[in-house]
Amino acid sequence: MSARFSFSTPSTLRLGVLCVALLALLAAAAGLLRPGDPMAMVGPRGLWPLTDGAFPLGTDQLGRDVAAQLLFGARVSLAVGVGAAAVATLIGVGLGAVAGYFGGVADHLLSRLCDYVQTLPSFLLSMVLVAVLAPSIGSVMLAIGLTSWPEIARLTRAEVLRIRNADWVLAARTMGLGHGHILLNHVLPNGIAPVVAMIAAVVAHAVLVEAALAFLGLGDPNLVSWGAMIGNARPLLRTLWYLMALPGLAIFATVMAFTLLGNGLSERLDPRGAAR
Amino acid sequence: MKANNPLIVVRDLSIAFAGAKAVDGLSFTVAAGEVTALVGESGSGKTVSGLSIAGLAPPEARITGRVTLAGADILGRTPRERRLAGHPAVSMVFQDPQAALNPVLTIGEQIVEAVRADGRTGARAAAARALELLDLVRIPEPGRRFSEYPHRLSGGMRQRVVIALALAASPVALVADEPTTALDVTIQAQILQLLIRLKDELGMALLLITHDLGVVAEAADRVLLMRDGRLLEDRGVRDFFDGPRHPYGRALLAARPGRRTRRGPRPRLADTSAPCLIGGEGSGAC
Repeated sequence: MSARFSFSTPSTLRLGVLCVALLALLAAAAGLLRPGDPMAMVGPRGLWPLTDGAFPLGTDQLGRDVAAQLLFGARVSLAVGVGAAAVATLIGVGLGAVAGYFGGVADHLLSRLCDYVQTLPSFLLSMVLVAVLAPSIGSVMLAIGLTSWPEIARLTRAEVLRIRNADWVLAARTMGLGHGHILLNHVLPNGIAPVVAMIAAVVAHAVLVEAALAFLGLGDPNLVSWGAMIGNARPLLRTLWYLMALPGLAIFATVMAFTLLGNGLSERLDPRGAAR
Repeated sequence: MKANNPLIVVRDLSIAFAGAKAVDGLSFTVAAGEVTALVGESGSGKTVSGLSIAGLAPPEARITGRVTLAGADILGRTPRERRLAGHPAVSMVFQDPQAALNPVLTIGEQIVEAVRADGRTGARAAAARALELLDLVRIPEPGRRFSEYPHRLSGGMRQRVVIALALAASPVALVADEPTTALDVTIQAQILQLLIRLKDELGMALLLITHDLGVVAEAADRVLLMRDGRLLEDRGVRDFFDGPRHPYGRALLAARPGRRTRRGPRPRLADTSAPCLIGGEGSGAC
């Protein structure tokens, strides 16, 4: 599909793309904007935001630069969000498409597997996986991805079920095209729009789960994470509340950006919708 | 105009779904260069018969009997298996051109794909052939239409694209399932004429599945009348309209709007001898 991006595209998508691009830019430029180790104690302790030009967002209880931590934390959040969503998408779309298209035994197996994974409390499962695999950015990605694919698989399966008997799929079969080709060219592209929206929601969800895991001390200990910032600032809620509020806002903004992106994409990916 | 060697031979075709017979012992032949109309009401089994000839019957259907295409046994083989076995192609023209085109691919992409399905044609040759096909089905400005999405075309244009797609495999026979039902009356005639012209030019057999007797009268050379999965009549089109032998056929002709039978009231379709499946008001005993 040709992705023609112009200023006539729906505003939700524009806003989402803008927000995500801004976040990615900030994360990429973290080293330029706040050089040095974000974990280093560089200033006075407990400096409030907007009081010192050297530390625009203040410092924490150990004298670490909050702005630097937020910027470097964005890298972790985005990497985990996108990585986990990629894992979930690969598994979910792959299994869901095969189950929906071929039906029968494949469908039964997958549906039961989905049921099984979904009956497990996903957050606990993620915690156990991270604990077993040893906390690192890769294990966090994997743990979140492995617990959030069933939703994508179910939605993909439902979309494929809806489309696999469409006349154009029958027409493609009369042409003697193979199953893989039909699935990739005629079935999936027509059902992918809601799945894409859900993938963006999974990114948002993964950002939240990463924050929660880090809050509980299950993040990568060598990297700054918004969740860990909130966790560390917990005892100081009544005195230095900005230490929780700022990373909280960052998480909110990131989740919002990906939600907007998802909704915008699902509008845009439908050629009939775009023509209006 | 009529060729006598049968291209498609159907013998004792029966199709059942979970024990219920949709088609029961159907036998007929279709000759090349001939338009054979398969006529019947909804549920008479005409569509599923057409689908099974094209190799598109749903997998849960239990099919018995024998269908040969130019001598090759094709029943129960998917189009892909037929292609790999080197059999000639039977293509399908669908009722609803809106549904028969993939909305996310351009017209050109879809036709090129259909042309390249043989696995031998290169991208450039396929594009040239696609433009040729669009021209063949009389689409104005094929070069411009090539890169447009199906929703930008009118219903009649879409049906022409569907026909172009069906022709991409160079089929020896076309199965057209209600090809004009979803179209405006003025467009219906154009599409019918197009199908007949293509049949003549390309020497194909055309199996026209319809419930529209107007379409039959205009296009068909032969009429196969089906009801409840059985073949009731197999006659030349003129014979059929002059006086069908089966009471159901007579009732069907009399039921056309704007006509009155000369003697007495119209025979009711429900009263004819074939078993009646239609329940509800006015159908009395059945």
